[in-house]
Amino acid sequence: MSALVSVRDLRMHFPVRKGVVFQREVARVKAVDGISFDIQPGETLGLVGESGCGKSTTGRAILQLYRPTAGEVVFDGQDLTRLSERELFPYRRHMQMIFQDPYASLNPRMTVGDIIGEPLVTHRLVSDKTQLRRQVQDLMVQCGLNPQYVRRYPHEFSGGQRQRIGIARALATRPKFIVCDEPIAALDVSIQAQIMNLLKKLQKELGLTFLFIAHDLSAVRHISDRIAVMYLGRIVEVADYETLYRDPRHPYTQALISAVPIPDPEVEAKRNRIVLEGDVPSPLNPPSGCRFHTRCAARRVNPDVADRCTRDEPVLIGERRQVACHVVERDGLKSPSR
Amino acid sequence: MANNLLEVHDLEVHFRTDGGTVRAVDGVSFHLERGATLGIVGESGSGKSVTCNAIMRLIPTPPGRIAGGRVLFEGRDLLQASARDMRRLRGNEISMIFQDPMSSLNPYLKVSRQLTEVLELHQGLDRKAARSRGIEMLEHVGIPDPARRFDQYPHQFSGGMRQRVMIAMALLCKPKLLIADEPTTALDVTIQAQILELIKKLKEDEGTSVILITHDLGVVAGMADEILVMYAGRVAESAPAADLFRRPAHPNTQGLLDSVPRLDADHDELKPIRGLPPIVTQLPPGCPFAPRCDFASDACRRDYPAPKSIGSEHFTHCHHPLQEVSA
Repeated sequence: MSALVSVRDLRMHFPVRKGVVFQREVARVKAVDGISFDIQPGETLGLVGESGCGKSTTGRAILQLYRPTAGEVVFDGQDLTRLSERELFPYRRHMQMIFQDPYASLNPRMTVGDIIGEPLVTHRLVSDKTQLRRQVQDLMVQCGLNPQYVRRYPHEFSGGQRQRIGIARALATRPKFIVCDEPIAALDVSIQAQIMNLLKKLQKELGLTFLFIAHDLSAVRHISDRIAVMYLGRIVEVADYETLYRDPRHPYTQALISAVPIPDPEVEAKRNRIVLEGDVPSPLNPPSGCRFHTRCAARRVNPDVADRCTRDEPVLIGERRQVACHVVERDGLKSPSR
Repeated sequence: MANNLLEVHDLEVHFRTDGGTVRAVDGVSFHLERGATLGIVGESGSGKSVTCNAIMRLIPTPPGRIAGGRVLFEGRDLLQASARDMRRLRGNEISMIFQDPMSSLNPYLKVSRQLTEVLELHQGLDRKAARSRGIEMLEHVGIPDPARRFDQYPHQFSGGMRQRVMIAMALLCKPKLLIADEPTTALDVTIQAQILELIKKLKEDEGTSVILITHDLGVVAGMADEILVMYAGRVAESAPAADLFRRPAHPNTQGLLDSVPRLDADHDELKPIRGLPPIVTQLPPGCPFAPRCDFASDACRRDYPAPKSIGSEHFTHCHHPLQEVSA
């Protein structure tokens, strides 16, 4: 089986400029700094990390909404980073995006019908107005919207319904691959579950491939086949959910899991919480070596590798489950973590 | 009940809107013991924030109006207190922290000014004493290098650090009651864990009572002693925390529990609450949850249910509670 999306050593740096006339580059924000992964057809890869870790930038760089600084993004056998805008156009209908904020991502001056139909018109997928209207209404039904509301405006809908409009728009061109950028983070809890179930249903029906971005693990567990954990522009661990939850190996993954509260007081009372100190360092000037070493508990109890942690950047080791950590590398992936 | 720091009886808060009068809070009663933590849980628009703003008498009037009820703080009815007495109380005996620390800090003023103001106002400290107490407090809430940070502006702090500043400000006068309105909703999970640990520690050190408002049942599970579940301005269920999670009686509580993805549960489908949160101007007669409820009967669509006792200190407003009703 060959991967639908293959990312190789992807880097996305944003220059920080100063000066009025000669805008000289004074620094670089290394939002994504050398990440690689594959997504198989029909698979969902969850991408998890805290704000500013580069997860949204990764999604946008894959879709070529940002043109990457370096690295390859191979989609369906074609390296997208080498294509011009014009050459990219036929690929765009096969890769779509669902956004976090259902308020900001819909044009308030367009009707729902126009919003959902726009990609169909842009990509010339319909021949006349009747066909357009029929397809838009089919999409609305598929996403749980009442097709009678086709002439309404976004402000007339609730947050959850707006997110359904965003999903219908993403599905319009019958894409193979969709980047879901925190699609439930802005919604009420009861509505989050509705949208998650809708996305799962659509994936099953249409054989979609997802990159699902979220800031915490509980949100992606129900939909992801594998989960990649990001920290400061790098992937630190990749595994399926069960493995990741039962036996997280990277110290950052361990902290991330222990930080998510569980709605059960008895479980909460028994849990051993790892509270990370301080904030995520600035991606303008990330720590040397392993980027997590400034907040790492494992480094503190393993003085023999501590020097390596501050000096060398660890690489992902392993096949299906991957970890980038000097302590894990020394002990071997197979050995128990506790 | 002499040990109750706060008692709220039949609180009514109404807002006048173009669509008619909204009963944002409609007959809410609860009490909070000294040193205890109460969690108020509900979807957006359930009236949890309005309830707490009413306790602080922070309802904008008009269009809002506290239409009835009593709020007894140490036996004194705050709804009858003068504006001057309320000013003395706020930030001194009752403090509040909000969801978005950036919009609740003044961006034009250094953190030092915002911290010392409370002390000079309420405790009559001079500049120098207030300054050293302020720096001490920043250190207490875990801000590194507090003496340097003290003279910085809010934008120089990260989200988690800003929330720490808010907490420091709220606790400067050692309040008896801290109201935290979604204090961690805008923060990352690891920072959320830091802030919750901090509130827990400060509560133990100072014996402060806490009201924690949140839509996340996970957050209250580890923090609260008692939980109040609100729906459409009313109390749907009230119970000791352990009992609420073990034996949820109101279908809305059950629905909230089922729709939260759990880290530790087995891999299964999420069961969302169907439909949408209620539109408070168009509430149906009878139980407001009935249109979204799997168990709704004709009685639910007709009459608002009277409270039913489920256990000790555990009651629910539901015609068909999911747990056995005790005598």
